[in-house]
Amino acid sequence: MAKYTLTNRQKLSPSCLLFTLEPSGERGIGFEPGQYVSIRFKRYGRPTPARCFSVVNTPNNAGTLQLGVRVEGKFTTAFSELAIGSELIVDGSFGQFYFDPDYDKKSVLIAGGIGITPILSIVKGAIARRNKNPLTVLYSCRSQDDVPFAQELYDLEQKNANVRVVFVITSGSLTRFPAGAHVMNGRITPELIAQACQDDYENTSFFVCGPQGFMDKIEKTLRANQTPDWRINIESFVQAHASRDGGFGAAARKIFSVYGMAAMGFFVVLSVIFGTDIYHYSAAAASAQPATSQTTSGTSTTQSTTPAQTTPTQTTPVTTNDTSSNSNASSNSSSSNTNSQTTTTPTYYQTYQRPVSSVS
Amino acid sequence: MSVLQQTKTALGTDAVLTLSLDKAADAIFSELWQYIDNFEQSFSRFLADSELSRFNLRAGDTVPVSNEFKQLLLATNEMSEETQGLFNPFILPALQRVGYEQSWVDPNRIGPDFSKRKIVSWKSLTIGTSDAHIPDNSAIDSGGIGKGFLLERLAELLATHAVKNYWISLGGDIIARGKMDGQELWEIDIAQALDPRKPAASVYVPETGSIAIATSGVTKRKGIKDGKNWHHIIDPTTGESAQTDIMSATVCLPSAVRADVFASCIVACGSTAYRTFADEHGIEDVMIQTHDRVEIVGNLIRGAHV
Repeated sequence: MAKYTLTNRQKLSPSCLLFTLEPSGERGIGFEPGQYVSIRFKRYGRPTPARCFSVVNTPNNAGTLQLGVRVEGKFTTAFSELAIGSELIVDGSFGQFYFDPDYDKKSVLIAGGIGITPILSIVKGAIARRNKNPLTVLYSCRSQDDVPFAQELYDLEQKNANVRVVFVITSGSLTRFPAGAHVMNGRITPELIAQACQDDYENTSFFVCGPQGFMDKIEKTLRANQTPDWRINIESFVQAHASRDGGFGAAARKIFSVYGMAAMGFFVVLSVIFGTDIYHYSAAAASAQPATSQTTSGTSTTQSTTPAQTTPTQTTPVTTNDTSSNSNASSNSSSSNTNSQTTTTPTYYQTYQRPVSSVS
Repeated sequence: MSVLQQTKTALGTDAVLTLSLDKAADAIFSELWQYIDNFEQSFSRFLADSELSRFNLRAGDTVPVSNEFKQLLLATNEMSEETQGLFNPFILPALQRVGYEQSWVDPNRIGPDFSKRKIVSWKSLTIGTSDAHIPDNSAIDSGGIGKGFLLERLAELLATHAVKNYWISLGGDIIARGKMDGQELWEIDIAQALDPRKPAASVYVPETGSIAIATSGVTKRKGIKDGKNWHHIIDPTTGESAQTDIMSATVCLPSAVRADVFASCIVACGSTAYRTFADEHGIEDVMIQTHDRVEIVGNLIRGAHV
């Protein structure tokens, strides 16, 4: 247990916030990228129950924790209203949902919505440790308006040859993604997963995090392809009650790592990160039959490695003709909270950035 | 109605354009960026061929100026008069002498060297119908007023497109109007002077009209030259970096030009004199940060811990 102070709150998307917590004392808690912590605080002078959230950032000397949270229940609403400077109690870290470079020689990380948080941490952790194992992220969101960490993921891909990120947007336009991003309309289909792992289910580690229905479908696909149990790492969030409201004590989070079960068994902790009915992955969606996938980069068009069973990728350059320099695009970085950049090409932010007046 | 944000480096800092609107925005963004780029090309002292640099190189002559430059010079004169020279555009030689010689983001951008020239009275700037004149052996800088001036021009540009909900930030100087999605009030954070990642206070943009927020201080654009610490807020009476205990000052006003200029003036005043300056210039909402305290005046700025 450690005391932390809420030092920043940043809007990631219309429904998601990024909270930054700094240790109140000298030391924070340690964690592996992909793990989660539980937090509690006082509201109206009374302690709240504890709730668990995945850590988004990578371990650092300062002990900083960053938590990406979708605000949709009483606890998360209360959390979102907590004053900057408030104190919290943090327990942890917990969970077996993390990357081991010795075992996970190549990995496909599959996220639905805010389930991206532990996966982003894993990717950043691997990069920070200079690990070169191939990491492919398949990231599904309902619309381009609600894609937490989109810019940061794109930047990670641009700067690391072993990282590949494919944004899969259920519906709507794709105009806000940076040029060169791998973006497609539709769902994460069995074909897309096959493409991502190059049909090598035996030697690919899968990390899956998202709403329950989403993960059920992914797991079904993996098992249908004889993926070894120990290759499947699933971090799931389930509601303890039917209520989506997620009131204090209303929800439970189940951490289910097939590989980790022998060591940790079945682990249940409270959480309200997801409502179970946010995403609906239908069989019809999974069998969508688009033609080919293409990405445009600058003025050239290149064939993407995304699978044939998708809609054509649409990437939209920013507002100048020179779209090739977007690798320097300003990051919505959760870890750096900085907008600094050197590009002379304007770039769209993927998530809302609050205005800050500061000495410049 | 959706909120769209674009960012890039401009004017030696991060510029962010945020528009909340229900129509196509690409053309508007392009127009805004074009305006910003043109402004920088015209009025950067770090570019040898900018209109400002060419004007300074011809000090002593009466030089034809563009209408944009004339408007900038008129605003400069107005603010110099209002502050009775505490804001003085002729401090450029002193800025270069103390150590601020090159662009903060691109050290390769240096611009002409005027460090041997003198600081003269703000009254020495004369503006004609389509020309202007500064004394021989002097040089002016647009740094103390440029961002505020540009913010107001950008706001005018948005008005021509009937965009009523937006905020624009040029390195932390901000002009804002309307609401996010037309519903939620814009909230602007004011950063801590020593740790700009953390908010010290915040401001809700009023529902009617626009508001400008400018922060100036001594915690950036500073350095050491010849063993001597310097920062970029120059006291025109000494030609040296201002001796002040204020690390940063934030001013909220309807006018971005006035907010920009007054924020730097308040830093130069120091914590014992700034209230008098604020009262004399009708500044109702101001915040200063020193090493040991934060002072907030007015109702608009709310402390982060309140």
